[in-house]
Amino acid sequence: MAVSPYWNPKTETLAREDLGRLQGLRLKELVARAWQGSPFHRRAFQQAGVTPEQVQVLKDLERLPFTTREAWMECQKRTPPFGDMLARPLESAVRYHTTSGTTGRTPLRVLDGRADWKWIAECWCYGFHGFGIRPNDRVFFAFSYGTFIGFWGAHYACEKMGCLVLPSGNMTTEGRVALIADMGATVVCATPTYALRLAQEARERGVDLVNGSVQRLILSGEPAGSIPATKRLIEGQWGAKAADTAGMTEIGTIMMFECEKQPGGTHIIEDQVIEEVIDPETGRAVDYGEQGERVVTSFGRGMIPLIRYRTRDLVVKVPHTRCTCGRTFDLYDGGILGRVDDMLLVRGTNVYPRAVEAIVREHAAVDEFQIHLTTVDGIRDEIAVRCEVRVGQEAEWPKVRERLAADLAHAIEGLTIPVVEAPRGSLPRFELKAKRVKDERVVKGAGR
Amino acid sequence: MSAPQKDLLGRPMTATEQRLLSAYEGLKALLREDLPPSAAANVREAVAALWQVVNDLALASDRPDV
Repeated sequence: MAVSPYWNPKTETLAREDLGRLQGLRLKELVARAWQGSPFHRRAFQQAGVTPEQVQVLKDLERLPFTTREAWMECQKRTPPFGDMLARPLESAVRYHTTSGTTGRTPLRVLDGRADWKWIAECWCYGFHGFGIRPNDRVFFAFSYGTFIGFWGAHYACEKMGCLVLPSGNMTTEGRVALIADMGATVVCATPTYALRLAQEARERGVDLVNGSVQRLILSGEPAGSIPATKRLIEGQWGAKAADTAGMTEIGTIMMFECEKQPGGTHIIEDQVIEEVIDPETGRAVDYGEQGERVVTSFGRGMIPLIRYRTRDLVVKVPHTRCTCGRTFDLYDGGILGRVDDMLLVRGTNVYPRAVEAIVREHAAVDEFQIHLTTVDGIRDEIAVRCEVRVGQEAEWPKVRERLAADLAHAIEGLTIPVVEAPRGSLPRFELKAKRVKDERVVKGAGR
Repeated sequence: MSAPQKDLLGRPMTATEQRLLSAYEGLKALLREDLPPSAAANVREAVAALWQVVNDLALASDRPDV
C-alpha cells in the first residue's frame, strides 16, 4: 500500500469549512476545560465578561481575552513556581521544561502530562512526515537535551515514527560531525546557525558532507530557516534539502512546518492550533497577505491551556492554495519574519536583524557575522556588520566586502553600514538561538 | 450503550474508526480497575497514545485523565 504524503490525511485535507467547524468544537472544549481547571483563565474570562456558554463556534474566539507572557510571568511570580494557569494537578505532570531564557528574562516554567507529551510529539510528526522523513531514516539531533524544550518533542516523534534516533547530548561539535558520518545519518535536526557551524567543523575535519549520507535537514529555533539565502547556504554546504519548522515552549511543540513542495512558506497545523494574525497596536485581525503578530490558541496541552497567546512573532498568512501539496492548512509566507520587539532604531532608521541576515547570507564568503551597535562621541549611534571570512575566500574578501556594503546601503535607506572583518574565531557560535546583535549603545534604540 | 456512528464532524465513521474508538474506550474503562503497577502505568501510556488517534481522526472530544 502506498504511504500517504500526509501524517493525518483526514484533517490535513479537510475542506476549510469543516476545518473551521472542528476548530470551533475544540475551542468550546478547551474553554470549558480552562474555566473548570485553571484559576488564571477563569479570572481572565470573568474580567472580560465571558462565560464558557458563550463560546460555541470558531467565531466566538474573538470574545476571549488575549493572554500575554507578562500575565503568565506575573502569575508564576505570585504563586511560584508554576503559577495558577495549570488546569490539572501537579501530580499528573510527567515533564518539566522552561523557555530558553536567551533574552535574559526569567524563563517560563511549563509542565506536561502523559497525553500532552504524546501530543507534543504528534505535532512534530506532522512536520517530519510532511517533509518526507520515514521509518527507515536515521535522525541525528544536534541538541543538548536540557530543560529548554528545543527538539525534545521531535526526538519522541521520530521514535514514534520508527526512525533510528541518534541523540548527541553534550557532545562536542567535532564529536557530532564524527557521529553523523559514522552512523550514516540521513536527517539532521539543528538550528540554522548550528547547521552552519557543523558544516564548518566538517570542512575543517575533512568530512565531505555534500557527498555524504544526509539528505534532509530539519531547522528550528530561529527565523533564519525560512530566509532563502541562509537556507541555500545550508543546503549547499550539506548537499541536502532543508525545511523550516517553528514552535515555542509555551505550546510545547511546533505549530508550522514546510512540506516537500516547499512553496516558500510553512503550513500551520490547523487541526491542533488556531493561529490568528493581528495588528500588534490595535489587536484587530489583519487580512491574508498583511504582516501582523501571531496569536496562538493550542488544543493539545491539558496541563496548560493556552488561549489567544500574544507571541510577538511577525508573520504574513497566505491561503493554503499557495501550495500544491493538497493540504488545506494555510501557510505563513516566509515562516516567522521576526519579532515585534526586535527592530533596532539607529539614527531614526528602522533596522531589522532578519533583513540584515538575508543580505549577508547572499555572500558565501561570510562564515559568521554580527551586527554591532555603539555610541560614538557620547551621542551618535553607529552600526557595523562584523564578518568572519570563510577559509579559502580571503582573496575575494575585499570585493565581497564592497558588494555587501553596497547591498546593505541599498536595502536600508538612510544608513551607511560599514562592513568590518573580524578575526577568525572571534565571533560567537550558537547551538540554540543565535544572538547576532551586540548592542553596546549608551541608550538603546533612542533614535539619535 | 452502542458506539457513536458518526465522527465529530457528523460524518459516518468507517469500520476501522469504530474499532479504534472502541479500543480507546476499552482502555479507558480499564483505568477504573484495580490494576498492578505495571499494568496501571502501561494502560495509562496506551490511553495517552490512543487518545492521539481519536483526537487526530476527530472521533472523540474528551481528554483522558492520565
